[in-house]
Parts: sequence; C-alpha cells; structure tokens
Amino acid sequence: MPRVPFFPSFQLALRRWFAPAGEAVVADPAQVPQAPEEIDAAAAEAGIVIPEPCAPGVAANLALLASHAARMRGDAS
Amino acid sequence: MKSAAEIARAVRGGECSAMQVLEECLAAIKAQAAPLIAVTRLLEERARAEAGRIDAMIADGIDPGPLAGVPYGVKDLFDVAGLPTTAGSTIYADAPPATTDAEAVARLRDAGAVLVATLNMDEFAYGFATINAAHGTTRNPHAPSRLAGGSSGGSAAMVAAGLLPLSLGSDTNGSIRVPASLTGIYGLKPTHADLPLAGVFPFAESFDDAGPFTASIADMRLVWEVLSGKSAALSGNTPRVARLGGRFRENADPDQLAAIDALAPDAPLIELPDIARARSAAFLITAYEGGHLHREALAKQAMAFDPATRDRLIAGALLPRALYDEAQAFRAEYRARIEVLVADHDVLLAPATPCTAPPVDDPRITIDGKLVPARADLGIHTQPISFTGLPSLAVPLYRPGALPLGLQLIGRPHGEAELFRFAAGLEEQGAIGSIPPPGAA
Repeated sequence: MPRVPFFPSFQLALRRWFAPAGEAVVADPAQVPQAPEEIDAAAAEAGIVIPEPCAPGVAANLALLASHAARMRGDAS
Repeated sequence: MKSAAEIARAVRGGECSAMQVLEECLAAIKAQAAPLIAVTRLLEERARAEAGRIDAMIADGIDPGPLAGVPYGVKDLFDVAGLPTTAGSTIYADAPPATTDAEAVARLRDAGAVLVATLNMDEFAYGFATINAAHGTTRNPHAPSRLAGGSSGGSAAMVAAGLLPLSLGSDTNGSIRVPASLTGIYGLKPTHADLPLAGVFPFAESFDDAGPFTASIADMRLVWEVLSGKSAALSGNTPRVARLGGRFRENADPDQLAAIDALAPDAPLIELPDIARARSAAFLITAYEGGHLHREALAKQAMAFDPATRDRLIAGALLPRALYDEAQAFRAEYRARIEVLVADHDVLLAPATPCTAPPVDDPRITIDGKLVPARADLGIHTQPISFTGLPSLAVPLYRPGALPLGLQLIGRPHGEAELFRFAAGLEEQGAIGSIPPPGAA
C-alpha cells in the first residue's frame, strides 16, 4: 500500500473545507496531483485507469515530479 | 574494424567489395555480438541487397558516395522500410511496417552506407540505462558486468565493440552522450532539430534529436556532413574555450575535472545560472510530452508497457497543462539568457556523465552524496544542455586500462564544425581517443 503524502492531502482537505457549498473542489491547475483523490481525478480526466500494481510507482513518480516543479519555481529545498 | 573513412576509401578505390566488407561484418556480429545484447534485428537480406547495389555501381564506374560500403546500425526507433518501428516496445512489434526509410537512414543509404541491424534501447527512449524488458540489458563492451548507458545503448555498444564503424541513436536528454561516455566513443547531439528527425519515433519533441556514434572524430565529421548536407572545414580561428563550473564540477569524476583543467588551463570558468531549475523544467517537459504521446496506449493497455517505463509515463500523462506551459515559458526565457552568456565562446567543456558505467546488478549512482537510480540520473550533465538546444559532442578521454569516461564539448548554435575542429586537435594530442576493448573485432 503506498504511503499517502500528507501535505497534498492536507491542502486538499483545506480546499474542501473552504469551498462554497455544492461546488466541486478543483485541484490547483498548475500543481502536480499527489493526493489519492487528485491522482484519481487526473487519471479520469486523461481516460486512464491506473492498474493496481502501478499505483505505488505512479504516486512515487508524481512525488518526484512535484519536487521538480518546486525546484523549477526556485524552491531550493 | 576499420574506420568508416577507411572502408569507404577501400570500396571506392576497388581494393575490396562492399559485399566482402558486409560478410566480414556479419560474421563478426554473429560470432561476438550475442553477449552484448545490443542487436534486436539483423537485416541480412536488406544489407546484401544494398552491398550488391554498391558493387554494381562501382562496376559501372559510378561513385556510390562518401560512405560506400560502410556497414552501420540504427537504434530501434528509426523507420526502416518493410519493418515495424518498435521503439524498443512489444506494443509495436506487430505494427504496420514502415513504408519508407527514416530521412537519416535514406541519407546514409544515398551516401553508400549499408544498414545491417536495428539496435537495443530503453523502451520509448525513456531511460539512461538500456534496460529493456523484451530484449534484455545491453552490456558494456569494456566491462560486461556494467551498463552501456542509454537510451541508445545498443548503438553505442556495437561501435565500442568494434562490430560496426558507425551507428545512429537519438538524444532527448542525453541518450547519445551518456552511452558514448560510458562506452568510450564519440556521440553527437546536434543543434536541436538540425539533423533529420522524419521517421524517428518521438519521445519528447521539445528536445528530440538524432545523431551518430563513431570511434573517431574523422568519422564523426564525415557522417555529420552526410546527414546535415553541410561541410565542416578543418581550418579556422583558434576556438575560444570556457570551462563550465558550478553543478558541472560538483558531481564529476576527478579524472574528468583534471582533464578539463589540463586541456584548457587558462580558460575562464563560467557558471550557467539556475542549472538545477533548468534540469527540473526539462524533467517536467519530458514527462508531460512523453506521457501525453502515449496516453491513448496507456489507457488501452498500460500493463503491456515495460515496467521500467510504465509508471513514469502514466505519471507524465497526469501532469497538468498549466505546469507544462510554465516549464516551457521558463525554457524560452532560459535559452535566451544562456545564448547571450555563451556567445563569446566556441567550446564549453563539461563532464558527459558524473561517473563511469555502473554495475548491471546494482544500477545506481551517487549524486550529491546520495545513491539514486542510474536510469533517471546518469543524464545530470547532459539534460541541462538539451534544455538549451546547443550542440554537444561527447568525446572519450584517452585512459588506457581504465573504464571509459567522456567529456562534453558544447558549442554555439550550429557550431558543430568548431567542435569537430577542437576535438580533432585533442585527438591529435592524445588527450581523447577511443580505445577498443580487449578482444574487439
């Protein structure tokens, strides 16, 4: 079972909390999907059903790409 | 094996026939290539037809061209008429055959060269290792327990082993320069899109390039002239050289740094700004373009992909367009900045790979003190250069008895001729040069 990244899930929960009632919570359009719900939504949009054995690898690769996105934006961490 | 130039000279001069050259080449491949896991298809019938055509031209007094009778191979992503283009994947094993040769193959054919084989690669060129689930892992001719690098590993291994005098590969983020460095030969990533890409299976179009591998700078220049249709004059002004500092010197073999400093002791040390940001943007653009290229196939049959590329491609397909656009905007601004910064230099010196070839049974390398996968990170020094679109020639340090290791000679846009001229001087001095592995053909 892949470990669920804490920060993206926390961000998503915050967005849900503050979203107006009845409005869908949309992930930041320029962020790499990382929370399981975000990954599922992005996969559905791409028309891809992520096979069970690929889920951990896909999540790990998305986490890596998120770190590249942060670095590209000047986050030195 | 003789060089491409020597073979062509002998065939054009009637000292030997193209068929004799071919049969010797095929016999050597059959006897020695299997352990390398570099050949995916041996094209005997086509090769004999091409060699026969060259010999008929000679008999009729027609010059077949500057590569008369020179055998060569291509990475498994160049269209070859009559064969499916697989890009190293079983998904395309039964695809409709290509109706024509890729433009680069056609130019070599029209110059008299003889296509002998298609060669192993990472599936869809996504990796620096040539670890392929369908065909196996290509071995380094200098140390069979080590990787040849990738993704054009089959093309590099065959030239390094002396089984072919030249081959073609493709380079998106370093897929020619990395295996050239690890196997001790020359490999060129041209100025972006300067050599023909028609009929080459794409990976990430923003960075894809086709280019040759050879065992000498004279052969490299010869093949580049055929592929580009341009002439590379050997005379010219003394090149203005600089050494790349910063990230390029932080993850490098001490021998590479010593060689760079010895080759150009008085050259200024310049630092490309934001190199880590550039590499990360290149990662994002590559992932997005690769993932979206294969999105439909991933939707239909994800499990048919090589496990080593599948998860990476799916992740790329899930990246948002807005992030891709942001990375492309950074790239446009970055390229403009770098072109200004390097405008006063003809040749920039940098390591090609951060280390020698890693072992097949533990394909990891050390970057910033941490062990990371070779498949993703061997291109740490090549990927930022691809991002700029500048030409880069990987050259082998001359170091008998040691594992091969290469440098990048990076030029100004369309400055390949200056790179060849500078490299020819280094080769003449004995600073660089390809050393055949023990028992080479």
